[in-house]
Amino acid sequence: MVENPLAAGERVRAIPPPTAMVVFGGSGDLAHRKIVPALYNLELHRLLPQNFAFVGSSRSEYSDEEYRADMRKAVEEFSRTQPIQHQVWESFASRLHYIAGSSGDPGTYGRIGDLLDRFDREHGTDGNRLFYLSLIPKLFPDTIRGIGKAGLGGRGFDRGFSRVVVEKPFGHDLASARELQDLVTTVFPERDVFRIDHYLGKESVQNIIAFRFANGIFEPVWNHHFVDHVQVTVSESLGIEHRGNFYETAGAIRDIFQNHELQVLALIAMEPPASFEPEDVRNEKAKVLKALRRLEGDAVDSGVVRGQYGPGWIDGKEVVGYREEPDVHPDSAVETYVAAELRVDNWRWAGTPFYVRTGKRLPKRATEVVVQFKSAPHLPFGEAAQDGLEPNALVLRIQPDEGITMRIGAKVPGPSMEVRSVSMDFSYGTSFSDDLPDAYERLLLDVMLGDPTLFPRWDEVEQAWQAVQPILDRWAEAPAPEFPNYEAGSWGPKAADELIGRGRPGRRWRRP
Amino acid sequence: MTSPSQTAEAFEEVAPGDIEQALERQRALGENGGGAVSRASVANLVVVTANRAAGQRALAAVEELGSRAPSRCVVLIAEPPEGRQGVRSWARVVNRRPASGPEVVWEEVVVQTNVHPRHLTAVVLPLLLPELPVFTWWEGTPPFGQEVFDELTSVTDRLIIDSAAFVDPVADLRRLAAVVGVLEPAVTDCAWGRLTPWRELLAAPFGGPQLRPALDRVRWLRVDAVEPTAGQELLGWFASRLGWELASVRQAGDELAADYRTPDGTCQARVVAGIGSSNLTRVHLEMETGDGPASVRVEAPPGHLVATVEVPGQPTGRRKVGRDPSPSTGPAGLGAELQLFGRDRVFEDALAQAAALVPE
Repeated sequence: MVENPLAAGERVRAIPPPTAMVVFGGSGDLAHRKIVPALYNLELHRLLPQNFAFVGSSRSEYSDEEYRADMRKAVEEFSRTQPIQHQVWESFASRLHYIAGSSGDPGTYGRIGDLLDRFDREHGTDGNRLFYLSLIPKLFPDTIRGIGKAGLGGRGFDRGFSRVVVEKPFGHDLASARELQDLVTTVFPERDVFRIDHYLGKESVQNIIAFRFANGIFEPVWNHHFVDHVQVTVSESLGIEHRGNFYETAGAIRDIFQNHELQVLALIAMEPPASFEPEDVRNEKAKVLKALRRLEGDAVDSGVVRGQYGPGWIDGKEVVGYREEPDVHPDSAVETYVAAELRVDNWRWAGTPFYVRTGKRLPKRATEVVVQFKSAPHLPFGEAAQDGLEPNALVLRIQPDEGITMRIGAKVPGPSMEVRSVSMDFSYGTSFSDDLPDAYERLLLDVMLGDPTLFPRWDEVEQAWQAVQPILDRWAEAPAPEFPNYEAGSWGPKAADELIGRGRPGRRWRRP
Repeated sequence: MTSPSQTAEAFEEVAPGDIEQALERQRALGENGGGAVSRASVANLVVVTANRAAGQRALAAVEELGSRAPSRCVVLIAEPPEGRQGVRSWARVVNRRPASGPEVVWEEVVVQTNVHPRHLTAVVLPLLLPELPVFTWWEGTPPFGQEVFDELTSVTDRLIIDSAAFVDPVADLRRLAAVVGVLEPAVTDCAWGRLTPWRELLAAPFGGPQLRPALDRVRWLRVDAVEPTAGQELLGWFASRLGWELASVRQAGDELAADYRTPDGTCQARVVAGIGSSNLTRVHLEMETGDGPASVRVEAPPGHLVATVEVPGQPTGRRKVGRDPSPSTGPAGLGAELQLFGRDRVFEDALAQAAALVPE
């Protein structure tokens, strides 16, 4: 199709083509908290296509009106813009529909198909379809098959584009991830599969690429010659909230480590892409994940620490331990904390450890990357004069306080030459602009635009599982760990400090 | 979560040569004496105004930008060079702590001077933060072609004006178009920036294959404009993007009538002066499709925008979307202009076509 000349120029933002969206799990938590509020904000900011319609589907029974009322409450609670604009909401809600059904019932897909045809006729959605699987993983197979069998989308569908969005985790382990991939790609070609890792939709994560590749001065030192080690931390002060059922089957390694953290690691470690074309970026990330050294057997025991929080205090309130949380087995061996020493076996990073940790019920919420540089080769100031001096470090703060911290040495004002470390904080100015889209808005827009840059490709996911599977295998055959082994409100098990300290004297986790 | 707060030292009157010291002192005080604030500086903004009242309005507009405020704002009150010439200056640091997120700090310098225009760059240049782009917002109608204009734009990377504030909007639009072609800095018009939501909504229906061909067969276009230059620039945008050639133009009272030759026929366009609270109140275009006439209409009731698309054989599509809130002072869209660097070619092409609508 010939380009739209009215859409030219940097001020007019890319508007997706007409789209009909189906959310399986449409009455679920994610639809309430993220999906529909994101769509509302896209509409508010004029980013949805002129021709757009939506159907949510779940087992709950709702009429269209009841569903709209329910979603209005959700948007009033979870929208990043407040208050809700009544006129815009009414106009948007008129295009929200609901179909009750179950994933195993072919009739559900027939009814959805009829509604999608109606959308094409009444809303001009042009046959373009987006299927969002906001479901527990065990319902994926029936749903994917249902879409394919009913001819709603996928291979052979030629009325418009058809894309499927799958929430992480993609699979439970390597085998199930491969099974799921086989199933999904039976119906949808890989180019139409969008796996959501919402971290990649965050401005501050995208800033990692901008920071690395817009500045010529960092790349020459971004390697094993100058970097002592890298830390990736995803720390949460929250517990598992009401996700006990899910968390008992996942643990920290599947919830955060295998996806968010390894994606961030890939962005930090990747080679500069030749362009920002999706495949150029994804190719470089996949190479990093392939180069991750697989830990086997004893190497897991010495290189990976797992933990589970016990009772403690967070934000001035007493909290229970993991085993006392609702829907958690009183003898649960599920980890709420993981720390690992990883290696990227390539020229750039040979010999440089990547320390990656994540945990629940840690003292504060923080996601950051620390690039710890080696000491200057020779410090001429004399021992006493450089007592407070530490090697340079660059901290990329991803949340909550987006920005960069650089630790440098500076002279202490005074008559003698004494040097100390000084932390300089640069905040981008993005952290408090209320006009920034949230990650789901960005990602949903990209799916509609067909831009897969911010979505992990299958080979990235597979490589990440290949790195994690040996850890899961080792844990499965090891004796049950002695849990809990850290107090809620502390920075995790002691063994994690020993893990990082072992590599070189003086190495320690940065306190966010 | 604490509520946002803003603290500022009072403006200190200091000699121009002492401004940097004064700002440094105030920055240190802003950190409770704990040491220099580390600044992430992005841009300089020079605001050129004719008198104190305009200068104060400009300051208020900058302060309302909050997190998008430039790192240093120099308000230049450039009075006519009469009588004894001199320079007075004031400076202060503003610290703003929003409800969440880190603090924003920016610096404000006000310079009131009646030196000869050829000395103005010497007054302004030392006050700018080094190595950062310089935006110049010229309040009101810039004196195109005059020495003061040439002098100050010579140190500018991007010139921001608001044609809605021009004394004679229509005639001055022509003068603006003439300088855009020759000026070194990029030029941007806040009135054009305020058209972005309209342009997005007008472009959106043509993103799909159904209506895209109809864009080549627009036969009728009407723009109801509260801001006359906005109406002309929007018409200029259609003409430049769609390859229209102006065949005739006439003004009769409130209505500007322009007839165009299009690649596939002709189009009658009207810009009609209107009353309302938005820059435009309505844009309506009609086009031919294989199945009959189709239309796209965007209207601005209070607080939102409504886009209506009528295509033969389909139910009318109508949606309501948000409208960017207007600031209480200063030109709406100033914040957006400070985020853009480089030339806006789409604007320049639209402006050239808009200027062609103005009789010489």
